[in-house]
Amino acid sequence: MFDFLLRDAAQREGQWLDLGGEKVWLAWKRHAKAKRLKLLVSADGPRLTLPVRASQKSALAFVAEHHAWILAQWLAHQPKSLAPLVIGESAQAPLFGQDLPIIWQEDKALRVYKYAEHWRIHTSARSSVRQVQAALLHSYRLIGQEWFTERMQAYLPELPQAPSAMVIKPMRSLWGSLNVANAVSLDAALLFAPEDVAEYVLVHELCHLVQRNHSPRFWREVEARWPHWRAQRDYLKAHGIGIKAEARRLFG
Amino acid sequence: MFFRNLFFYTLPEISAVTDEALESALEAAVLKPVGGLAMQSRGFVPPLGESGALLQRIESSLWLCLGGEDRILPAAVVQREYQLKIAELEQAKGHPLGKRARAQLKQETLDTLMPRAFVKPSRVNAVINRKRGFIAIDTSSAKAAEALVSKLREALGSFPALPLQAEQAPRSILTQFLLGQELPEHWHLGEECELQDPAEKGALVKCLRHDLASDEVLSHLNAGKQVSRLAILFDANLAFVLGEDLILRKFKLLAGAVDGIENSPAESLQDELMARFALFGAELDAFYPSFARAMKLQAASPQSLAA
Repeated sequence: MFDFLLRDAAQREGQWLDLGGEKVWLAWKRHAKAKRLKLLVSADGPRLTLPVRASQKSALAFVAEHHAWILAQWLAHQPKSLAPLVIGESAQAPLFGQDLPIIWQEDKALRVYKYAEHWRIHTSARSSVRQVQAALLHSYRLIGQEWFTERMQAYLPELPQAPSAMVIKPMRSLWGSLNVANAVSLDAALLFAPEDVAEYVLVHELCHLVQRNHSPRFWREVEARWPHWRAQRDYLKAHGIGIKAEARRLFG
Repeated sequence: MFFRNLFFYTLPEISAVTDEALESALEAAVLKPVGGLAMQSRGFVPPLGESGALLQRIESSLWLCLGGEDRILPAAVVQREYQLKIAELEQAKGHPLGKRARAQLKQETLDTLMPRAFVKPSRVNAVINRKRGFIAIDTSSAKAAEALVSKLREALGSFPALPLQAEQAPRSILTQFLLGQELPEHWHLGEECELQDPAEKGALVKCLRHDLASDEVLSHLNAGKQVSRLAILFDANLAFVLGEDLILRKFKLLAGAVDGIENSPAESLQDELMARFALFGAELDAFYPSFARAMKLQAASPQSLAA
């Protein structure tokens, strides 16, 4: 089903996989905090996270067992690579599930702002796509900071403490996280999804202030605050790959 | 001496708090000297020096001041004492100390050094404008501003204070200003700016005492940089550097505004301070609606933007 090859064995642990006839490198990452084997397929390719002391034999068996799943995830990622953003070419940037057209304008300096129901991007002769992407991300982060902070207020009275900080940033595979210092991080790409999906992720992270795990107790906390969470979780499962691909296109 | 920076929060519910309620809340949270084993203490102090009322009022402007006392205990000093004690104890016992014993020793070292540490006093002024519904704090540090606002919240029980929210990214508006387009009425460019490439860890250019309309500056904008700080003159009265974080730095009342008080004979330091405060409050009151419109801020109350 797949062949195993060690490539620069000392530095890069991993194996080659045969995914629908295509040879794909599955990188193995040993992580000090990993407790069990974990497979992840993102736009960057598949990855296996394993505890420091996990044996090669168990890892190979694990991958073999889940080969069908990796293949399905891999195929789901394939058609999602979108055409790159090009200055001046017609494009759209979604905001809360609504596609807002980008209106390009030549100017003396780079400016990005939302105006009514569209994005206006002024570019100068020497503006690069990288700069446009960074400026667009900056605007989304400001919108996100304000929106999430406002939505958070309603949940604060029922929480043991307020988060110490809220950061909106592009995240590779997660939608949100809560760190040990109680700072909430949320993926900037959530602003592409409908409002209830973004709010569900916020509620999810806030509930980690009560339960720092994904136990049934944790899900009861989520359910108490956001009863229809399954619909939003399913939305992310179904459309998450597309949203992340859109974020890579618009934010770089 | 007087307000060098302005860090704004909007106060949507300030009209519900009376001056008396505010004053008694400040009195309940007055600065206490830092305790023997505490690192710091925060509380309100009279704005006019050592004595007087905790709240000064002129028209719709209220002046208050958060005082602080911080113990200065350099980490290197603690570390040296701690290492000496460890070496001494380990030699006496003949074996290395465990984790718990080390933690205990560290705490003991801190406790013995603390009473010998210097106490550094500090003051942060703030002005509340009732009519416009904002508080302006004399600091450029988010931490210091939040400390003052949270002390107020603590004193008043509930006191909503929200950071300024702009409808558009401020750096986009500042860039537009620097290009000389749509500069609001009474606003003029100063001689200082900071230009930043928007990409993470992007290039940064600072211009001081520079003609901002020159081709050199324009060429940086052409290359895709955006304005993150911009010096502005408001009429002939105010000068400041406005940042993309909406903080006003290097805030100054200009000759046009100060003429009035410098020519009048000051009776005492307190009178002069009150005169300055009156002037500052009035200028800020006149400036805020223009600032809010220029930066497309969301209004805290309908009155906040009325001329």
